[in-house]
Amino acid sequence: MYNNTGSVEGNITIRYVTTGCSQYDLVLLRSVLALYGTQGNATWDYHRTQDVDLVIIGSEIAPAQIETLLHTKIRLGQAVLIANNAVIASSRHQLFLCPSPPHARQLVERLKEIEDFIRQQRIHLAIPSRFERNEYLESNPIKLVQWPSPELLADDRDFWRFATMLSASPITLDDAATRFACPREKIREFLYELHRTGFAQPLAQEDMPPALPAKPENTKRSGLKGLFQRIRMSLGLQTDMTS
Amino acid sequence: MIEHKILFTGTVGAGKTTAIQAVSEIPPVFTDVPSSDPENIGKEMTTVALDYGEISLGKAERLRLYGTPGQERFSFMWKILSQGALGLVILVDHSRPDPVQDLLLYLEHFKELIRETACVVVISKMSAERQTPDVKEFTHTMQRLGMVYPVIAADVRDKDQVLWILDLLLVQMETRQ
Repeated sequence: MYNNTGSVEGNITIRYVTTGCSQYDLVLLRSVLALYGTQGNATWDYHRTQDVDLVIIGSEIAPAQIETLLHTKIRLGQAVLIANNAVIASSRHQLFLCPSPPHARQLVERLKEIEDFIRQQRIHLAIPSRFERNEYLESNPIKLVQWPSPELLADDRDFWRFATMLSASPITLDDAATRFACPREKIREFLYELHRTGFAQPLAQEDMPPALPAKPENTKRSGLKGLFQRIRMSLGLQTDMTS
Repeated sequence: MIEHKILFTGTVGAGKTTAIQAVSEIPPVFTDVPSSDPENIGKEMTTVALDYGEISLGKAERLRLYGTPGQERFSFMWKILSQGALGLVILVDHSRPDPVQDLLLYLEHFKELIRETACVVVISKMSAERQTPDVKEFTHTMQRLGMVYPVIAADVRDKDQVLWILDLLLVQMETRQ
């Protein structure tokens, strides 16, 4: 296991962001976290970015906005603490619900559950934290080991195309972002989910083929590229999948 | 005339003829005969040689779409049709008694073509009444064989869905080139 800030064993660091929290929510949350963090539990670090382990949604946000957040901003499988009386359900996220205004005892219970969930996630992944995972996944070619579940693909054609690309050849995030007409962040989030759910894995160093000199753009390859473009145009298909 | 081809294969009644018909620019050429084969339950006509459709890619270039005859006894045709194909679409009729076993048959027969080119597995005729095997079971089966290809439940009577299948096939070809 890993021994840095994202270690699975012992103390772990959980990064969180808040949105739509009232002053009361924030004061209570920070007080509880300050107390909770001294009891040998996780260390909780507040961050302003979305690149966190936990998103905390407060009472000052409408249910419709929560739905929008879950569908657009919050990555699949991410832990979300909702301290709001809205009735929210999602099969794509790990939701932890707390009534509003939250009571300290209820908040502590949810935090314990969240900590357990994130700890289990990291054990399952056998890599330390989302942030180190970023670097690991971004610097290694990723291999698809099984075609992803329909739930993960979620009828999103970008996900289907990206998974298809991965099924044909291991690829790095940079390569995918270059070749794929889709925002890099969206590809990255999907890649995390593929990895987290076991459908994809980074290639181990020993499995990587030796580096070869760059292939010249020979006639056959460029001919095929042109052929595929002509087929796409004749069928009226999207033509900007590749660079 | 420069010619390229994509192959559609799969069980009898899985929708090969229908899929080709959905996207072909010409009225597809069928080699169907009245069916007397016990394999063809519920199907009046069946393909004995091949289905053929085409898409023009320019004045002197075309993409041919071939559908193989479904029955295994015509498997000698499968190899002939495979030669020079750009990729393969395998259609699996979900309403048949053992669709996973059907898939295995085609994966085995076309394994060389699949390894060298591209493949999309299409599960057709899925219904709300029959939930199993689900798509995951097909992907698990393929994983056990070390095969990872797109598996999609589709209605091949719908042109857009057939185009989507071809799109995924092209993504694989483009990635592998």
